Amino acid sequence: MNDILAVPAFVRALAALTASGLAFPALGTFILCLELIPARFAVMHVSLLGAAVGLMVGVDPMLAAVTGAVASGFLIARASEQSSVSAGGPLGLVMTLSLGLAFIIFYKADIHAIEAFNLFWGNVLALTETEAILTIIAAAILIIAVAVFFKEIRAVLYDRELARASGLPARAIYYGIILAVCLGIGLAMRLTGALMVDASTILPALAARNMKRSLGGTLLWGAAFGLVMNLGGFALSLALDLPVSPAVIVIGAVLVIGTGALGKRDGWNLPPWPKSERVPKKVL
Amino acid sequence: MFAVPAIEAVDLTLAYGSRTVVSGVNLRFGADAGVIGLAGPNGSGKSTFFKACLGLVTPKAGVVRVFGECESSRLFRDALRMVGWAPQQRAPGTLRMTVRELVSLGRCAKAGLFRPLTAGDRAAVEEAMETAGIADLSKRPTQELSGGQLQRANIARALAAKPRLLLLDEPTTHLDRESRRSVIILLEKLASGGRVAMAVVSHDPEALALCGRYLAFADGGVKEATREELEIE
Repeated sequence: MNDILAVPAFVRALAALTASGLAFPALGTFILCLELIPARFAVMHVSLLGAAVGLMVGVDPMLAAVTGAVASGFLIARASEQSSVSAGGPLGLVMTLSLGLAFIIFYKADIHAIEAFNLFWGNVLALTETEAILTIIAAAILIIAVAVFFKEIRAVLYDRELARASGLPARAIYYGIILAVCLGIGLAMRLTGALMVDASTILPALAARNMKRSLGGTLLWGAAFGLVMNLGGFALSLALDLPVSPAVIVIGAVLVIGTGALGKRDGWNLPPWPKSERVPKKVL
Repeated sequence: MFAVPAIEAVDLTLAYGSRTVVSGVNLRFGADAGVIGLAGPNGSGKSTFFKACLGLVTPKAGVVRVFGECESSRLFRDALRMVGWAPQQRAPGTLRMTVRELVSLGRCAKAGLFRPLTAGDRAAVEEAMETAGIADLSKRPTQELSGGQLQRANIARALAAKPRLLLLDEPTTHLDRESRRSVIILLEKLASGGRVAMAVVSHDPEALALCGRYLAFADGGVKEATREELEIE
């Protein structure tokens, strides 16, 4: 262990995985609650395009990916407000076009294959100090924002119209959630790669959802699962000489399947209703 | 009482895209108006009118004000905090939540940004659940409620803000007989209490029978109507 902590790359990786493991599952919960699964695919692809552009022009690919993710998030949030328009078609176009353009850039800009592969696979051990610090700061801000705005976030996740009609600044909160999701996806790309960005967000959130708790409980379970996934995956990768991202995903998948199976068997429900609390058929 | 009307519409036209739903609406009622029934066929603009009042639908023409404030006003959100809205019943959604948590959503805006719910807020939540007859369901997940229980929880959520005006949209639709009855009893209780004015959109004669004044939505317009004209038994 001491040997590992003596290597700065390992320390940066562990710090980023710990921070993202604790914070990013909240983004997965937001994605699931707001049914943003197709939208986050589009964000991933635009992030990839942003990173490709970054590599081409010599800008930090993580910064470029985050910029692409935030820009696409803003557009998605705008589009989702036009509820009469189905977002499926335009999102599909954005996804394929972004990927196509990214590949054209890789080819024409003569980007080294390993750099391109790093974008797809991620390489947490290649994090720079700035990237690690950025990830930790983003994770800390996310945790603080969720704690401070918890009741408003819950209201918006439950029903945006109701939240707005009750006098909450629901639109601003919704945009904040979307931008946080996109920022997280942009940052997670460097950790797990574009193809496995769900590892940091969706998998722990899915496992937490299987616990069938209210939002607060789901967020706490998500943080616990995220931490176990990231650190467990990191340990597995060291023990079996595996790439980190796939190892993290394997641990995450085991957690999702395990919690799902246990949830089915035991219910994972809130405690059963005591007979004395059962509601009479005619309450009023 | 409030000098400004709770709801005031002036030459209001509402539309979805190119399809005008209702036009030339001029009406006003105060927070002391008792219970007002909004009747009319499906698609005649009753629910859209509520949404326009709440700033969820932007008028194509004219203006609608809630406690003197229109959607573009800086104080509109403050005005909304005096209104409770229970929309047409919708599924509880993917977010798991207990009844108490659902009802406490109604208190969020009153409590203010950044601020957790105070003891006073929590007391208002408990009172709303008591009024709606769902206090003993407070720990139950909303996904496990019957239609009538969920509807009463939604009305309790609207009541938790201690509104001056309650907008109820089809409160008894899609409910079985027993659930419908429990909601009607709740509406009777609220109507007789007289602490909150109510506007009720309904096709249910029993719900409309609670009203003292009627607005008939038909043929793209709105007019005052009597019980006899609406054929309410």
